[in-house]
Amino acid sequence: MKKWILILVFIFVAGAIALYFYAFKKPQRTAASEKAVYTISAKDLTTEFETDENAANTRYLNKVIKVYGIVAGVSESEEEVSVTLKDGGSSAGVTCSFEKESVDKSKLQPGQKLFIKGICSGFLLDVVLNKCALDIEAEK
Amino acid sequence: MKKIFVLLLSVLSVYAANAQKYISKNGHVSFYSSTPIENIEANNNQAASILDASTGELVFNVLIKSFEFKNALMQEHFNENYMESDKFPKASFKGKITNISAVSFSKDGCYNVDVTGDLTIHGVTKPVTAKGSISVKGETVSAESKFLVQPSDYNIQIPKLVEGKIAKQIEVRIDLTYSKM
Repeated sequence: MKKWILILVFIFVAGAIALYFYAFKKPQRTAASEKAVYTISAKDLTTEFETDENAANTRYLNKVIKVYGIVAGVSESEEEVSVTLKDGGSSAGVTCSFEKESVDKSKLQPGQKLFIKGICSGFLLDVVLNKCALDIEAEK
Repeated sequence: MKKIFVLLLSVLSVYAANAQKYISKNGHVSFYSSTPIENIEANNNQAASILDASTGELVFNVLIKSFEFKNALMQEHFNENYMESDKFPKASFKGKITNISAVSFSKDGCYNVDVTGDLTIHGVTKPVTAKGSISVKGETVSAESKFLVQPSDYNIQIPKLVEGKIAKQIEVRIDLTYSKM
């Protein structure tokens, strides 16, 4: 009898701990740990959003996309490093945000061609990818 | 000759009007919900805005998915259940600084401004007014504002279970740095 109570208490405590970790310690999703669903050039991605934003949203929102293009600019804020990829053409590009500690800034030079994986958040003045990661393998 | 002069003048004035536009691509927007049970904060560093210095017209867009919470599960709920960001990926503001003439873009200083326009969140558009400030320092123009948003106004449904944890009025803070377009 006593044994059963002990087992029940144990299950309850284990459950509570699991729930705690699930609710409060769940890691943020990043692109680094996921496989890209689409691989597309910065130019084509921008064109898709410019011609039919709703269709592009349905297709790309929340998905991990691998984008390639030429680095047009790099900017830095307190927590993030943003890289804008462009491929000539329109004024819009793809802005890719990296968490500061997840990227070596010296690897991001304007004029360079890069492959970047990121989670698509939508389209403002540029297409926005978040939680990005450099895709070194694709460059080789 | 006179015609050419007029034409030239109008071309020049169009050019001048264009030159008075300011753009910001990585503006900061944050919101705070404070209740006795819990304080919640989310940050977004990708607000895009265009300000027309001559007319005071102001457009402002943010992506809902770019709001970051400390708690990943909270962020998930915010996107999936409350804001339905797959259906409504953006929040936007379109309006005007009503006293734009009070701001001198060529002189350094901090100016108080009144903003009025339409705020769209979760697919619902409401007229809003807010106070803010614009500071000019050389070529850079920065803008700040703080206002309250009531989720129920925008048809954002908060389940009874967590009602006590989420404030009825959410404070939104905006901090933009513009550069010439």
